[in-house]
Amino acid sequence: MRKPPGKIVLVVKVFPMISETFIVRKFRGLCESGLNVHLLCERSDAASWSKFSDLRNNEDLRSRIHLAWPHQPRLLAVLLLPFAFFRSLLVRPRTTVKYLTRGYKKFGLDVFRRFYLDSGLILLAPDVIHFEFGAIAAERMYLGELLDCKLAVSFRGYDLNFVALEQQDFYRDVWEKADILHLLGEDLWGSAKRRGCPDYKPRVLIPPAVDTEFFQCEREIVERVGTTERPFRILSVGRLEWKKGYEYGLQAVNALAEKGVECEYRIVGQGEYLEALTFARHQLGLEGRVDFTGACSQGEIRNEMIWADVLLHSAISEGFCNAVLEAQSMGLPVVCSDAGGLPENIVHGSTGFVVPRRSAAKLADQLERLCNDPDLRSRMSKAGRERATSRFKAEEQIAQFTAMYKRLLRAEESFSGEVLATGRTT
Amino acid sequence: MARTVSDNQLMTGTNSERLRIVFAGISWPPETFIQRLIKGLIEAGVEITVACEQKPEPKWLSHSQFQWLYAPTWRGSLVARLLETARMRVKSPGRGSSDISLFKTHARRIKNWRERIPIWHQLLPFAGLRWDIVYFPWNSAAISYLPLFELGSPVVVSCRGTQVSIAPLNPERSDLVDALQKTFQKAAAVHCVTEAILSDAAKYGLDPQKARVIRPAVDPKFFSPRVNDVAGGDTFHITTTGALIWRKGYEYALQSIRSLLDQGIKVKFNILGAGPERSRVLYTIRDLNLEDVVQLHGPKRPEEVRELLQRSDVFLLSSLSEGISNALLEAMACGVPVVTTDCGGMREAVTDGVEGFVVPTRNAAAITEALITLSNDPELGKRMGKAGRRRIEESFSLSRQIDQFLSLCKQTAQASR
Repeated sequence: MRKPPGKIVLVVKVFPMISETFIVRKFRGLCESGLNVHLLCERSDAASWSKFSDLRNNEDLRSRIHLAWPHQPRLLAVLLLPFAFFRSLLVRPRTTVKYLTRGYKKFGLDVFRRFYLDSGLILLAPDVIHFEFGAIAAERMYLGELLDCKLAVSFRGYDLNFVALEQQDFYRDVWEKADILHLLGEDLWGSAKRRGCPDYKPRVLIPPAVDTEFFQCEREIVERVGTTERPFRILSVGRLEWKKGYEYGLQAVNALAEKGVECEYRIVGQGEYLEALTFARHQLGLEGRVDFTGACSQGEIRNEMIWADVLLHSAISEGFCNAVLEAQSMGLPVVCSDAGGLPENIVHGSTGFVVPRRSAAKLADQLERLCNDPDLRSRMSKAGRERATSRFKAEEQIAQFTAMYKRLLRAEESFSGEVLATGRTT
Repeated sequence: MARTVSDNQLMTGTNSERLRIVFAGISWPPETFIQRLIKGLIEAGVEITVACEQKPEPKWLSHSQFQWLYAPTWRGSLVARLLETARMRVKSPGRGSSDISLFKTHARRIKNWRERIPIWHQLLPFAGLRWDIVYFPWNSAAISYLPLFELGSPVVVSCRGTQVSIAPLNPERSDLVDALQKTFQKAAAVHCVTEAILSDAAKYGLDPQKARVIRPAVDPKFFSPRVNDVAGGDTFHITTTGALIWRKGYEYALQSIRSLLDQGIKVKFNILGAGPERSRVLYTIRDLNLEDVVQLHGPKRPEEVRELLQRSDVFLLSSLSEGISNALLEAMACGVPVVTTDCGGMREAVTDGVEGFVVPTRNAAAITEALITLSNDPELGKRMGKAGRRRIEESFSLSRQIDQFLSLCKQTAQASR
């Protein structure tokens, strides 16, 4: 048996989560490709596990998923601290002593609080820690030094575009100490630079992947749509929150209807913005045209994508957007805004149309164009499928991550300013 | 806990000539306009009880016509709440056993005991007490106090906007429609802040006979135009005040500021207020490159609001839905011309082209156009500002509002005797 390769620990807050299926897929993919991968989360609930039955039934994978000890309520955490301490000392005496001596120099007595929070990682003695979201990495960058390991940090949108916008130095530690950054695309790299990341920071740009096996269908292009017999079917998929800009989507549908195009609009997803959106639907007089379906499983989303003629994504802020990837994989033309990574996600004019964000009128124009041109819909459908299978395949993504980890493990010192690998999308 | 409700509040032995009103379902300190209403009513000789958890400040409690009824909320540790409920239950039999049995019938309808105890907890402070009027400043609160409608004191409810214009549309709150209908049915009188709200409420069974429109008021003595005309320079100062929530439509206002800049107009936009969508406003400011011209001030004291209004060239209200905006009325009182979207009762306060401009909702271009007209014509702005001030003095003065509210309460109390 060959010596197990370096140990990689992925760190997330909650696992598994239906809205973060990409983490589950990445974890599985990496394990299956033979890397020594573990996953550490703070919380995990039974209801979500029931939605990932194949993960639940896989003994090997389950043994690689670790739950950190609770840090709320605080009293419980204080009571558990001695147990955490002795356990670490027994299982990883050297790492524990190293952590505490180095940590004491750095933090003084506060090292005990941190020790408790980090004890899950100490027990795993990782060679690489990968924080899957920037926000959870910001205050834990000292771990590289204390545990003698490499640090990778992913930025997926929210962490750069919203978290602690008013704190200038929030990510300074990450820019200084992370060995490598992972971003979904050029747009997020731009956001990172705007938040103070130096130009020379080593990074990989790896876009999300889509399950092109699952998300595929024989698409039938209906010649004549937009009539009372066969209304133009518009679909949106995503959490109901203001960032997704559904209000502009609703206004676009309203404008389309005013142009005399018969259309139906379904919005799949749930969230706190439902009240604002039902009010907008009422105010725009769209009660008969617009349907909020609530949350849907992957299978139901697939069915909705078979139903639809076009996917509308009118986001104001976006990381990369999995729903748009899935739509392309399903051969569904996309009309979207230019928020975040969307212009890298689709090819304007080929797999869909990109228009400036917050512009209902321009969304409506492109929707109308698609509605009136069955040949265009058919071309975009083929191009979308082609793009998804050639650029966003899961295997490709796993290979890129594997390459990233291997280089991290090999590298004796930190990298200088090269872009290690890039899933260039255009 | 010292009870500040005096003995004559008990069912027996009420012989005071004064009108007695309890403000229920509020937290202390309440919004400024409720404080002003309480103050105005006290000055008009009414005895006020406020039922809330927090103890009002001594400046209120020292007033002989002001009383506080400790009405705790179901928050904090479960054990403490359970003990509190038990304590209130033990104290209650001495007064109002009929009330207790009424609460009992109500509580019995709820199957789950975990949900039943908070209801006892909420109602017990009111057992055995009577007022001439039980007043709910928010009908959202009235909904959770339904048994109080049965106690025999007439209930007055205020209808202020979102509760009838937005929330019932939400499919996740379909139970609300039923509760709204019940409060409208059981209330002795319903106060609507605008005609628009009255017509919305009528859809949920409000009998217009019961309803009375009393528009909000501002204090024109406090909110007054600036004394000497300060030369504002060549920058056009735009101001808005309001909670940072989706209803206020700030995204449209900010888009409009962007296009003013693109057209070479020097502007400064002040946003006063706090709220859950602060990050959205911040994001939009950054996304539209408006960091240099938009200032997000956070919540401000009325003195500071007044000062900023007095230095503004125009007040902008970009809301998607409103009852009637107090902030806009305050701006008008300060002699500032206004640009407002056409929603809720805004047309009841502003006539397009007189005190300012009324533009369609969700339309940044229309806001831009109105702002440009005002920035090109400072004289027009001044005329509109003066007209706004006049309108406030004539139709939105504090004394008028208090008189109307008092007469509503008196009539309601008399009718139920």
